[in-house]
Amino acid sequence: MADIVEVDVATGKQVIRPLNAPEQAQRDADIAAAKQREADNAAKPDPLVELLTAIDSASTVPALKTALRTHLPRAFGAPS
Amino acid sequence: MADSKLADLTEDTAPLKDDWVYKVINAGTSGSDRKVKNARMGGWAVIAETVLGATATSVSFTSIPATYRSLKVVAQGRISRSAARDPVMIRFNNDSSAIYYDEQLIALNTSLSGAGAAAATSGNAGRFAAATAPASAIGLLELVVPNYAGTTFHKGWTSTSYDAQSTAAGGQDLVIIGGLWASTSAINRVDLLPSVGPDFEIGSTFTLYGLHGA
Repeated sequence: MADIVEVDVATGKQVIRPLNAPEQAQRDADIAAAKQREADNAAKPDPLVELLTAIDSASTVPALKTALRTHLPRAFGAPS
Repeated sequence: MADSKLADLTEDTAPLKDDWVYKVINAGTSGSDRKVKNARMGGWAVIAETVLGATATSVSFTSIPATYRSLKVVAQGRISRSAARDPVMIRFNNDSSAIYYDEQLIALNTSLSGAGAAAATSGNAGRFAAATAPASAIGLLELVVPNYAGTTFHKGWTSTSYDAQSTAAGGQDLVIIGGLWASTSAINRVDLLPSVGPDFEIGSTFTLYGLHGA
């Protein structure tokens, strides 16, 4: 049973009670969203690894330039 | 508070309060014989605190008065998630609409990384150690919300958090967070909840402070 601890600052009273149905639904949605967010982040390749892989794969100077232009900004923190 | 000379302070016979400073000008024997001059001290005062005697899926401070300058949450504890750590999330006024934004700077051993969230339904407050962390290892956080009772601007917070995932070198996180609740409503309720949890563990401690001003 999931319980919430409520501290009423005005009265100083502390109540421990089960979540009601809307609160439980919100909690379930929160947890599902958190798990999805973590899965999305885990699926993102490391920008630095992507950069190094692209450099290793470039066999010509133009290909190297393309690799750097494509991956360098994100490796240095630019938003993807 | 503004600087005041004791001679400028108001005269009072009211019962003494623990967050005021007094100068006794007539000790008297009892009651209204006692006269003092007083001024409220600045600084943080404990508004409320809870130490969990049982696991809980969230901790909620309600009916927070608008009488302070800023709010601060100091917390220490663990989360039941089967992982080394779990984020602690914050929600204001029980508002779960997607208007929370935050940015995090995370240090783990020699690695620094960043993370951000936009249009989320709660904000990151910090991290607690979780079930696979060493026994009794904890996470802690200190989170400040300036001008929480204002209604002109959106509300924001900054937080510093630490958690021990292991006792090995580099097994601890330090996280610095800035966040935004894109609402102009005065804050009267603060909820803290594990990201996945589901529960805060027994012994977890949550203290709400208010900053006095003049």
